[in-house]
Amino acid sequence: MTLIEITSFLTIGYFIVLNLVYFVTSILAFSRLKEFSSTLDAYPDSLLLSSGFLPPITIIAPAYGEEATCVESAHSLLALEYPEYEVLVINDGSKDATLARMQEAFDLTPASRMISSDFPTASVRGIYQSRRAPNLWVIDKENGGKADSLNAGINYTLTPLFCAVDADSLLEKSALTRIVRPFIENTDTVAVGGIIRIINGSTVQDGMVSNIAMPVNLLAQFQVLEYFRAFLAGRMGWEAFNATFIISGAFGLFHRQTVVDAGGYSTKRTGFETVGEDIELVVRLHRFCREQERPYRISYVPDPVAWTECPESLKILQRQRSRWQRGLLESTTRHMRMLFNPRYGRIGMLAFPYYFILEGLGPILEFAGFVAFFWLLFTGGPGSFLLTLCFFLAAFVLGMALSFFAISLEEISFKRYPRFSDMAQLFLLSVLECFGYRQLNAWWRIHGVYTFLRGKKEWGKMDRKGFGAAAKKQGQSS
Amino acid sequence: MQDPLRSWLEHSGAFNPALPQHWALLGLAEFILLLTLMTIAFALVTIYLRLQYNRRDRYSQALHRKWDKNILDVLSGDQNLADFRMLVESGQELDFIRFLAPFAYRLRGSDLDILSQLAQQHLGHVEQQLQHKRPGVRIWAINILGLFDMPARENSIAALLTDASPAVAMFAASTLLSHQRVQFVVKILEQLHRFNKWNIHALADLLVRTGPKAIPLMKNVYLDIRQPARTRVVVAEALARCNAFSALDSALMVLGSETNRDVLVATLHLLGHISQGHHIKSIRVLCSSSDEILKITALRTLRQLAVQSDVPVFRAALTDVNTWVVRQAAMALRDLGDLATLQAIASQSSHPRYMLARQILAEST
Repeated sequence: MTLIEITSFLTIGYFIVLNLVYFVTSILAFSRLKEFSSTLDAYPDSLLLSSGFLPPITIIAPAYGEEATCVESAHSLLALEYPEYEVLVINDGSKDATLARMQEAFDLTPASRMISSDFPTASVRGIYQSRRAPNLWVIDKENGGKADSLNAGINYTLTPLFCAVDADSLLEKSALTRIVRPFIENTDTVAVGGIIRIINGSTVQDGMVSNIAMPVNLLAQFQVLEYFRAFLAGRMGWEAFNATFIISGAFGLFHRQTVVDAGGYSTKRTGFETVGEDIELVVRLHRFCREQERPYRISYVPDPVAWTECPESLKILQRQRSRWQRGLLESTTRHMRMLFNPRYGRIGMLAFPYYFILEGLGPILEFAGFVAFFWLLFTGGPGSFLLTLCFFLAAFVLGMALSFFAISLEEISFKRYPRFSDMAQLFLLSVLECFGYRQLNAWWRIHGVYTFLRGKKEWGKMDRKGFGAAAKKQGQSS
Repeated sequence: MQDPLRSWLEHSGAFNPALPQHWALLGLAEFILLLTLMTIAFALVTIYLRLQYNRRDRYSQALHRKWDKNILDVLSGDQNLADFRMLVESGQELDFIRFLAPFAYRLRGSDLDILSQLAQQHLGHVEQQLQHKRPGVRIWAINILGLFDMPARENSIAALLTDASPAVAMFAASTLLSHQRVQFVVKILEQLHRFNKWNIHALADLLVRTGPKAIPLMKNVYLDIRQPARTRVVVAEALARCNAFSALDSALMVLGSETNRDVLVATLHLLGHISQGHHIKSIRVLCSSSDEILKITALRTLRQLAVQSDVPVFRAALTDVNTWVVRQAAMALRDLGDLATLQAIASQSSHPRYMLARQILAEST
């Protein structure tokens, strides 16, 4: 058997297993979402809000160069419906006017705040409390990265739970009440992730999303569809299997003491720097709890929504995807002993192998497969040509089927995009993305693998337009 | 049965069974065909769901518009109930209940009574939903019956305390307790083990809803060492929330004899709420416990009851390695007016508790 043939078989095997997993998780997600949405109707937030037993929460929002969005984000965080919570905005040595904007908008005054843990972080320059909203605090520190800022936030957290959010995310009013439910229903819960949706194109008013619409930019539209697949089909499916492996850094709720016991977020100062600090923390929580034989549960809830601005330029999207891939590989390779290790249960035997082999190393196989197939296409004669063509066609239709299924999942559950035209647009995007966008994505992921192998640690810059700009844009387009 | 795709290919001469490559191609072609059909099916189902949703939404909006016009007249007494009832046709019963529920959640007193009277004749349909296969629907039915027809439907709801779904059982318990149906407290306490993963404070909050009538029953469970520790903890928390002064003797008895850490912690919470400081000695002893949780809780309870002579206990705790122990001690010193000790720490930036002392002092201003 030649190298080309071996590569082709490996690629076909990879393709079959990967899509099988996608199908199984999608089907699991289907039943779970149906169950979830029916319970949600019967279980209004008002019952929980009036109960008086919701545990206090600290929201930690690291901000670096967020002058365009930080004030609106803070307003949105302060407008949440939750009885007792504090907001800690961590200004991570921003070079722009992030701190000045916050000072101006919230009348910040220097204050003292107790430290509850002692993770090493970049030095704190000042602590401020808002005179206008006493539950808003700003920790101003030297630049140390996102994970460093989150650790600084944990150091100043005085509540049993903390919620890690991106300073450029907007949480829905009910987001905290909904994400906290698993902590109330199961005391073994140590972390819960919420759903991330794309804000581009929607209208924002007073720090809240007031009119949900599809983005105007084509790249952003593709990402809406991608997020459907990732959050409604993928993560929901793994949750149904009790094997939640990723909690997005943009919105996750954690049990403070368990995170402290597990060592907090990984940073240069704690001995391991990664751009995938959110994935790494969840993997480490799994590992820590299993090794300590602590009963634990890590959940995902598909309803509490954090809205986030997605990249609209190829250059920035490429940086983001490459970084995600690098983050996944850095996080999984750090915990390689979990791979196919029955000691770690379904995480070690299923979720970890899936994320490491199929998602982490998959792009290498995909790339090798592309090379092998093109080789066969031009050298293997008419039979191989037809087979290769059929295989590509199968991949194309399968990708479309999965996207259509994800749109159906949105339809049976939340129906956030109310217009019929939005749904039609999503169907069209499922077809269009097969011609260029998916291939670009695969290429960016390969770039991520390459930068991982080179040991690169940079984050790359994300240009923010601000939510106001998104709203304005929507206004112009309509 | 002959594969139609194969027959068609054979018939057109494009398929030769002798060639293995043709078999692979046939397999792939069938796979693609299947996927295409599935994709089309997903699209059709999604469109169907959207159309169905839109139709249902339009129907329900039309109904609501019809009822909306009259509901305020009924509530203000300008229209009689019988006329309004005429507006609900057969098959619209559950829609009508869904229409009434948001008003009922917001209204109380005579207005709620009017809504309950309107709902009354349709509650049979809701009661049937208690047997629905989906737990979410059963929970909805419990909420509605609890809203409109308690205590008449209490036995139907109580039957769901043993429902296979813990969420349904929880809502049944919650509804019964909210309506202070004390006769079900024992049965609910027996079921508490089913909610063993639930947050203790949430469960305690649930029990508190029964009001003072249930205190004697809860005291019995709290004292009963045969009960699971977690049940006793929940009950102790509930007694604390009720400020059940009559549980003082029971708490002292438990404090003197209990060995389970969780029950002791809950007992300290309880004492913090109901004690007058007569048994402060036993609490002081626990302030130097080797168990950190017990120590923190004891310090917190002592802080609530402390007198000036307790200052040395708190000063000693300021050197503890546990931040939360120190925080309790510092707060107690602040409450007792011993600000000098805290100011001394707050003035030394090299002191490990410098920041904590500064914050506690800042909180006192």
